[in-house]
Amino acid sequence: MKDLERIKKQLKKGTLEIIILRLISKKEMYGYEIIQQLEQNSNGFYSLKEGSLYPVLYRLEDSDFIESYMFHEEGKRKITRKYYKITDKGINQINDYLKEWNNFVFITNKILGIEGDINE
Amino acid sequence: MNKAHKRYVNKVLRRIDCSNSYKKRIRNDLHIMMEEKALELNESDPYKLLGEPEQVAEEFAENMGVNLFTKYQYVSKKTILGTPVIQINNHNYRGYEYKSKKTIMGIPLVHINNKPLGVAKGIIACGSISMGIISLGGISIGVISFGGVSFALLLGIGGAALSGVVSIGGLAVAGLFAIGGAAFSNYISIGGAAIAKEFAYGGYAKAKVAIGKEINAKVGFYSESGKGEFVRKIVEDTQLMKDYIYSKVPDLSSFVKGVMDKCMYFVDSLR
Repeated sequence: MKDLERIKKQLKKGTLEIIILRLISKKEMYGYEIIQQLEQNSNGFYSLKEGSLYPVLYRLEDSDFIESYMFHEEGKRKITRKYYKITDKGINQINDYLKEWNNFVFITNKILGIEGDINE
Repeated sequence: MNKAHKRYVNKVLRRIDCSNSYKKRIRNDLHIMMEEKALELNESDPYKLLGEPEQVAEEFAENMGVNLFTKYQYVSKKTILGTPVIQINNHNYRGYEYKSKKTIMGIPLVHINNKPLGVAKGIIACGSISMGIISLGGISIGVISFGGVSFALLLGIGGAALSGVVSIGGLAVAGLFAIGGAAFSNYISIGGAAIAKEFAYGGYAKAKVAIGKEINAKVGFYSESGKGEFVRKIVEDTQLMKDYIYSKVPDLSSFVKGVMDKCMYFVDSLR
């Protein structure tokens, strides 16, 4: 069980950058929104904490794949949000990531002897 | 900005060994996240919003690939009056360092370095060993220095203070004015044992003009014993004592006169 947790943690860690970049490529998002989206879309599998989210965002930002801007919402909820949006360089990168991901899944499944749906 | 949030974020940042620019980013992002969550969950306690700061710091450090500063290797859960029963120091704890981006002639405006034997060099320097215009440290060197042992050009304050002008400390050595348990100066000294060239005041006082329990002076007043040419026992009338001193040393500077005037207020304590 401990080993399984370790592998799960490693897999999540390895895919997080791709997943977050993909999410931001679809829509400009703020930090808490990314956490919520990931949790909802994965039925709690990707339950992220700030200490995992922000280092990924920093790496993406430092590589110029995304950029951030502050947005001060007026009205009832007077709070400042930091939105992230994808750059042109980021769009190219996510396309490369997705190709690489498909390749990785295909080869890994082939080696593992898994074809088609994993639940079959 | 919420003070509790600020303190919480500081607790997180203190444990992450990363550059100041990253710390600034983390600080801003955690504040924004807490604000967002606080509003959403109607909860302002930062611990409930983000969890234990140690864990948040650990996760940041792990995902950023940087060191985590932990002061203690082991802290027992059992406490007595809030203090852990067992606490083992972490020898890898390297302390804290901060260097301001703003520099003056290439020297950081503020440099704080409390790492063991860490040296802080800045206009304002604070550390185990500090060097600066204003310097605070275990050993401090500066124009104005505060520290266990302080060396200063103008003002030194510390356990042991050595200064070109004014020193205040357990042991105070100064060019002009020393105040301390043992005070040595070229001009005026005040202290338990005060030795100076011009004026000394204290338990034991030695100078050209001295006032103390025991004195060794050319002119002076004592309460217990005195050695010198014109030394007398302390009398009630302080003006009389002053007049006597002025008559014997007419060239006494106004600065010494001023200091002596102030010392006269405390003459009763010598009796």
